[in-house]
Amino acid sequence: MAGLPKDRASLAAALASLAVFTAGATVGYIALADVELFARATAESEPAMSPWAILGQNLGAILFMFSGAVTFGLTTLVGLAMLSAYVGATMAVGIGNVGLARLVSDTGMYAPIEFLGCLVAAAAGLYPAFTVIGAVFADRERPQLLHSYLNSLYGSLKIFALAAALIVSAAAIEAIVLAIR
Amino acid sequence: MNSEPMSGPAPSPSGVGAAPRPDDLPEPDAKPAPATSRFLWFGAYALVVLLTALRAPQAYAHVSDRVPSELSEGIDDADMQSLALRSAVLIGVIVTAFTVAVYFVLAAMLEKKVFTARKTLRGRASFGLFFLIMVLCFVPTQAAGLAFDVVPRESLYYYAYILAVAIAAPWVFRGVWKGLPARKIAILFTASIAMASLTGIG
Repeated sequence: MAGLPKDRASLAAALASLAVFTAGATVGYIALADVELFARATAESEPAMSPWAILGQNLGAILFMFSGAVTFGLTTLVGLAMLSAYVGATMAVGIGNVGLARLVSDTGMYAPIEFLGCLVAAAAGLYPAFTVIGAVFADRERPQLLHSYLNSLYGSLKIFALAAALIVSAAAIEAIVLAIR
Repeated sequence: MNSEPMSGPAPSPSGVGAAPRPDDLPEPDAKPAPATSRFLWFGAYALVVLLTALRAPQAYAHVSDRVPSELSEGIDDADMQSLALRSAVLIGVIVTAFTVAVYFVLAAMLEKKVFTARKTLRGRASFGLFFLIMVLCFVPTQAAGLAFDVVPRESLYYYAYILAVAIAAPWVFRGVWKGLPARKIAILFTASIAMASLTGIG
């Protein structure tokens, strides 16, 4: 991907997103790891969402992840923690009910791309905050904080565009998979 | 302290910054290193976040014991309640890490704009006043909470300690400010107390 920011702030933002996502997914998974209560509910297959509804929901999720660009990262961090706990809990219930193999064969084509899209969007939301932090701790006497913040918004938008592309591709794959099945 | 601000050769009347700077003068904006070395900031931050994360199980036990019964009756599934509480504790840890980052950024900015004095440690490492306050306010209190299984903020000693740090820390730098006008010293202590108090409320 040409044009994406390749500085330390973008690397830090990506690593922070990954760390929060991993922590949240682990917490959600552990909380519901040995639950069998949902077995009956999922046995009757619930009506599937339309691909457009899924796309809309996921676009909403990545917009939430991106919102940290104007809140110094706070809404990204909180939203990512909630989202990843939900993902972890859903995985726990899915694995508990249909098993890992079935879950992977059902969702393995698109779910990882969706998760990656959310991670990239979260990195976009954290990037301006990390840029400002980098400017504060740089060896310069008068850091131009507002200037570096405004500059970083452009880079942040490019990262977000990558996230949106991932989410749209995942939705297209999901629509094809559901149509074939 | 009456040195002329413009002691170099006068700029040429035609302006446009044409005056060449003699090579032996230091560049005015050449690397005035920050008071606190960067690795100290990041190391201290990692330590505070680590202590906060280590206290998460304690926080979970703490909130589990305090779920109001009318609320837990509404959640008839213990696993869902555990999921909610665990997620809440995780978000608590993350928001704490965020808040500490904001305080550290504020402290670093104060060390660049308000009080730039430093204490040099062994080697090239040095630290400033506001770094000292951040470390003293966060690390011993979090470590004590972890070691004795207590919640520092529920104790009066905690606030007494924060106030003591706020008043004591500037004395480490007394040599720098003792000749300054009283107004500046007052500003210094105000900033010190304000930063320490921030750590107490967040």
